[in-house]
Amino acid sequence: MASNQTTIDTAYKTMKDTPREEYLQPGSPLCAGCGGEIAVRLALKALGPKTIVVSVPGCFGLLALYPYSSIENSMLFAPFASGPAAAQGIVDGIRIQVEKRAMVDPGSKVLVLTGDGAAYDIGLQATSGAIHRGLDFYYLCYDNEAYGNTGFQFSSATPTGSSTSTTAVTDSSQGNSLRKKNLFEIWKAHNPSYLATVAVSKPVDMLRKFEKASKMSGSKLFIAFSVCPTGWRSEPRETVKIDRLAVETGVWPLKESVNGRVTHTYIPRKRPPVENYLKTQRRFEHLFGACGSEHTLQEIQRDVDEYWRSISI
Amino acid sequence: MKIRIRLHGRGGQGVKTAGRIISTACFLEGHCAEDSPMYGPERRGAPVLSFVRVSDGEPLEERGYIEHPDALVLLDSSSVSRSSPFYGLRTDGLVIINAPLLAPKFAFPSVAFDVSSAALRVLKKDSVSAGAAALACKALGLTSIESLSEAVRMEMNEIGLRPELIERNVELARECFSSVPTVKSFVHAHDPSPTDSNDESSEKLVEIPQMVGLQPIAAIIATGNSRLNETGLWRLTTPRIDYSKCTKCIVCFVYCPDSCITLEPDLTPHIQYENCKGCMICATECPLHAISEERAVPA
Ligand SMILES: Cc1ncc(C[n+]2csc(CCOP(=O)(O)OP(=O)(O)O)c2C)c(N)n1
Ligand code: SF4
Ligand SMILES: [Mg+2]
Repeated sequence: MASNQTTIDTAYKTMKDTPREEYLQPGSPLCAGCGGEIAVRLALKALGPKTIVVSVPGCFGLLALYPYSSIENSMLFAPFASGPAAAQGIVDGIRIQVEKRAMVDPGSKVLVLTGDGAAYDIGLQATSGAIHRGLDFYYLCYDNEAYGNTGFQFSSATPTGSSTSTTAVTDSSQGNSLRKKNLFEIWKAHNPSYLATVAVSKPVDMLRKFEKASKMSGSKLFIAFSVCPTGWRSEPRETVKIDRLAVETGVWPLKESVNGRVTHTYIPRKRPPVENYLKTQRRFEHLFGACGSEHTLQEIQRDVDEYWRSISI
Repeated sequence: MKIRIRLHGRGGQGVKTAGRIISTACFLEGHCAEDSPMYGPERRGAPVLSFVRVSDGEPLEERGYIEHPDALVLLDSSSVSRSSPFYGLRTDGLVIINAPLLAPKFAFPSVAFDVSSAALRVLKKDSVSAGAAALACKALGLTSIESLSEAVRMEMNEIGLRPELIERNVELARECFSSVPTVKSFVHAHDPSPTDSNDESSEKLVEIPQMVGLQPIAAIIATGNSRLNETGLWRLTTPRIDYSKCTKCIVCFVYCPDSCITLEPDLTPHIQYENCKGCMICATECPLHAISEERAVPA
């Protein structure tokens, strides 16, 4: 227990405390260098063997692809829009069995694992309902900023300027012209007990957040920055480096909301220009060079600056 | 006459683009042509297929996977060891491969050229679709070098390549085209063989047969068994730990997406090569630069 304000009650002090147990096994069908896969692996390490995973269509639905499964935990595959509804079913099912004394409380944690397409778009209402009902579950959205599994189509998580297969770069268009939806604020407005953004280049921060959440009941929600080398057209070997750049340039703020109180868990003091981050991915390549878009670049930088100004740290 | 080509390679290598280039070149040459990639849960590095059918005017009424190809295009030698690509190849079939060292071992006539080395020189990366397509167009006597060059331009433009990269791909294609002989002549090739009686085109209603090796989706009752899926075969580069430099900081272990790095009790890391996909994140992140890179597949 914390004895004073500077001591944090956590099992994770340095990277060396990363649990050795693996719940995600080698041999998954995900792309080499998939950033979201690191996030899932770390999350399961923190949540442990009693986690029941609910997956929906998307790349990570393939973590169980006949005849193989890459996850040691039990896994239920639900329709695209219905992850949180399926989680409600599992939670209620177990509760009723326990009430009827048909089973001893197994102490399960139910984790909904979906992409941004499901979280930001098609599954938003099921999630809204589940948080509103105070469902005791975890939700991990691996945000690769588009519909990756079907060929990288734009989603409402796609950032400004990104080219996708449905926001092509043409003479009159510089990729996606819309802004990324603010899922953190949308989820927060439902008053979940715990809500956080995470990034795999800060593994200790990430493990601590899952640890903290698992001591609470109610809805515990995570949005994980997920470098997607295939869709982002980046080098698989640079996945963690790109993730770190997103955090350091301020593109991906690391924060948590505990019963509605928001704290930033890491503050990038220097914040190098967003270009350093954007240049690592060919989905943004049209923004640079002779016919590049100075305007879009400035807009992206302005949004980031504005964000950090608004939280006034 | 009709010719059916099946291309084998790995996701991200340009198997689909190579198929498209061949079929567009054939179309520009005045032939009828059709191509399609295999759809499925394939990923960067995973085995993938694409298919091309060409005729000299006869309508192409068949669709779907090609079970009995007249020619195979193998984008790298790993496709030979991993998935026995020769199934269904007609007895007089031709193997076209980007890997000169392997060719003499085949039971089929073959045309081989080291497209990867040419690509590394011309494009500065191992991107072989234009080169592999060129081998097929030339070896099978399908097109002129002009139709091929134009097809490379059209298809590379379609996938959004920058103009200077497109021209370098054209250069690569022309070099590959000039480096191999024509061993089959499109107009005369392939006398009707017994298999033609149940030719895929003989019926209008096309059945798509189940392909060898593909599995239907069903419930999985074994958890965490994907180790059996040898994703180590996907590797283009292999990470090697230099234990004289390693300080056992476990950074590589933390960031491996696929749990392919295990730790001894004293924290010495070991890479599990049966499943390591060769993403090389460990090599990038190792603060001591103790992990080096080896090219996994000799061209
Ligand atoms: C109701 C429904 N609509 C569409 C699809 C097709 N589909 C399968 S996966 C997918 C993309 C999912 O995107 P996202 O949630 O971001 O996950 P990612 O693929 O990026 O991992 C789509 C559109 C589906 N399976 N079900
Ligand atoms: S497409 Fe992107 S998110 Fe999907 S498995 Fe590949 S790298 Fe991961
Ligand atoms: Mg997505």
